[in-house]
Amino acid sequence: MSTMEKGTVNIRRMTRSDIDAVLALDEKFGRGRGSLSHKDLTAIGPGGPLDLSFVAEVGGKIVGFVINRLAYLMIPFTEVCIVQGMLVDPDYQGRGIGTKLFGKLLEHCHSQGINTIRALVEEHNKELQQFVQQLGFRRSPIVNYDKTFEG
Amino acid sequence: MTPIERRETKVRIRPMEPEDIDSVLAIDRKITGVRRAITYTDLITGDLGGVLGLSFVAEVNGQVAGFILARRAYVGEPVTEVGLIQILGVDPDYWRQGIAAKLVNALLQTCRAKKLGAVRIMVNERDSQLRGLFEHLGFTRGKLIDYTKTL
Repeated sequence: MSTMEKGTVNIRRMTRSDIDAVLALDEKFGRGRGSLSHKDLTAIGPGGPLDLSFVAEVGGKIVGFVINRLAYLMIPFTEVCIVQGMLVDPDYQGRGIGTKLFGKLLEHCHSQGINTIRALVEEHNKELQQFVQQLGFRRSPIVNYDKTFEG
Repeated sequence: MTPIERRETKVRIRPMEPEDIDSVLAIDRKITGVRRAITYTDLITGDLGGVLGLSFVAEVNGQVAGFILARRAYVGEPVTEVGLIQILGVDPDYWRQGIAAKLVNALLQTCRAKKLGAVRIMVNERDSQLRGLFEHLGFTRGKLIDYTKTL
């Protein structure tokens, strides 16, 4: 058994001081390899009033995170928690860390009276789709329409 | 044709001001027919509309006839900041005068000037009227799938 497999998993709220560790993890293992920027993460405001993000620590080291934000969306017009993205260090996968991160998030939302959680998953990300379905998320008829600016 | 439609209409689009809140609420209630959606508290203290920097109203002959509430937001992957349309409403007495398109175009111009990458709206895919409007305005269907969990 490697040292990485030892130690208990601690799930806690993300704070601004976690930004560098979260970015490093995303840079190293993220799908988009660094799709998160310091500016974007600062703007999301870990620890702020609209932030609902959590990190997973093993032996004091951040090995996973889920970034979430409180928002109002048009349909239905309610306060919702939006899941922005999640990542677990591959060396620590298979230990239920993703499930624990989501479990803590659901528990927190429930305690705050936030009754809807939405995860917007990219069409090609089958792995994440399967994961959220296992957690009881169901596909809704809501889709995004975008107008992007070139250049 | 109603008396309002016979008037020579001059539509003026301008940024939303806090003083517009009562007019916005009145239109919202006229559209929905019930006191359901936006509340005064939502507009004053909530995430809705943010600091109103991306929200506009349409005035016809000095009267607020429509509004668009939008804010900078992080919704879905990749984690980038977009201009998110939260609510678009036009007083039914002023429908079919291109007011919605003018409001959306004002938002697009502002978002482009603020260097945001895109403007996004979440739409129920069964709402062909709303989808049609945004397709007409150059929006395209994105690749996000919405998964929802209700607690």
